[in-house]
Amino acid sequence: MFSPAWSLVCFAFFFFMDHPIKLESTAITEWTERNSSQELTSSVASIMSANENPLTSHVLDTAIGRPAVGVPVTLSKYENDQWRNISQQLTNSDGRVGNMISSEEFSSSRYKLTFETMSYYERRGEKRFYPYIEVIFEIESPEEHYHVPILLSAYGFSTYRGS
Amino acid sequence: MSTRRERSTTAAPPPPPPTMAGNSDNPLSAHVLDTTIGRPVPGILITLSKEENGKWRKITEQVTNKDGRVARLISQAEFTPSSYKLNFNTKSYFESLGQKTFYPYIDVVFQVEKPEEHYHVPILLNAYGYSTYRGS
Repeated sequence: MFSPAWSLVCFAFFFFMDHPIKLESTAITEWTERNSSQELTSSVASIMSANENPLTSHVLDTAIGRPAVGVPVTLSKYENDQWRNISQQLTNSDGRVGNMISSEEFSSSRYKLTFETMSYYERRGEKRFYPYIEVIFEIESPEEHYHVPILLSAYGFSTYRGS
Repeated sequence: MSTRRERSTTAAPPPPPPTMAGNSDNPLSAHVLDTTIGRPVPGILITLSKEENGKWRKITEQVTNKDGRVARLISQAEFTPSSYKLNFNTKSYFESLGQKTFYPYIDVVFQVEKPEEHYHVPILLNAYGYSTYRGS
């Protein structure tokens, strides 16, 4: 059973079986070297630097676990000791607004988002505590993306800086 | 099985329990808690304003005590159905800690429909987020 011939056959079998594995690892190495980390870094950087939609918002009605649709959201910027309206949009079917300000106009400054939540509750025939909600915040790094959502209920809300 | 006959009393009925009305002239209070450290925030300047004829009229300003609370912001007589605004000067707190914060201040605008009830408007505060609710 363990004749030299049989041993030679076994040896040859395992030797040649090893080759596909070696070839595969070589191919992986070559692929990695072709797709260099430098190329990947530059392509990712190009996506991140195009901060064309630097500020977004979102309104969620946490009492029903659904987005709040059709809420007017006004963005204002504080300039020369007064608020200047930049844009107004309605939250979409996902409760979101975006493209509120261009990256050129989005400088380090103080901003205000006003959520006209009264109309939302009036449409639902519900009472609420807040006639509107204002969130005033300061931007220091306008190259970053800022997400300023509201988690809303009729008698409470929360907000946070998202990205 | 014996029936029990209720005794009639000639004594005066007990006085009714104290009601929510007449809030001891303290219909509105506020509170600031730093939920990052789980502690109240003393020393926050809070300003109460009332909307009258489309404008905000300042009623009072107070600083939160060691429990992070302010009370007696307005008298019962002045606390009529209207819109009110509480301004919380939260940035100074974070500056005292040497921390940055997203919010230069926090405004909460609310409507009072039943001034006979007590209203409590707290802020649960972090440097990059906050929440508030109508308490009692």
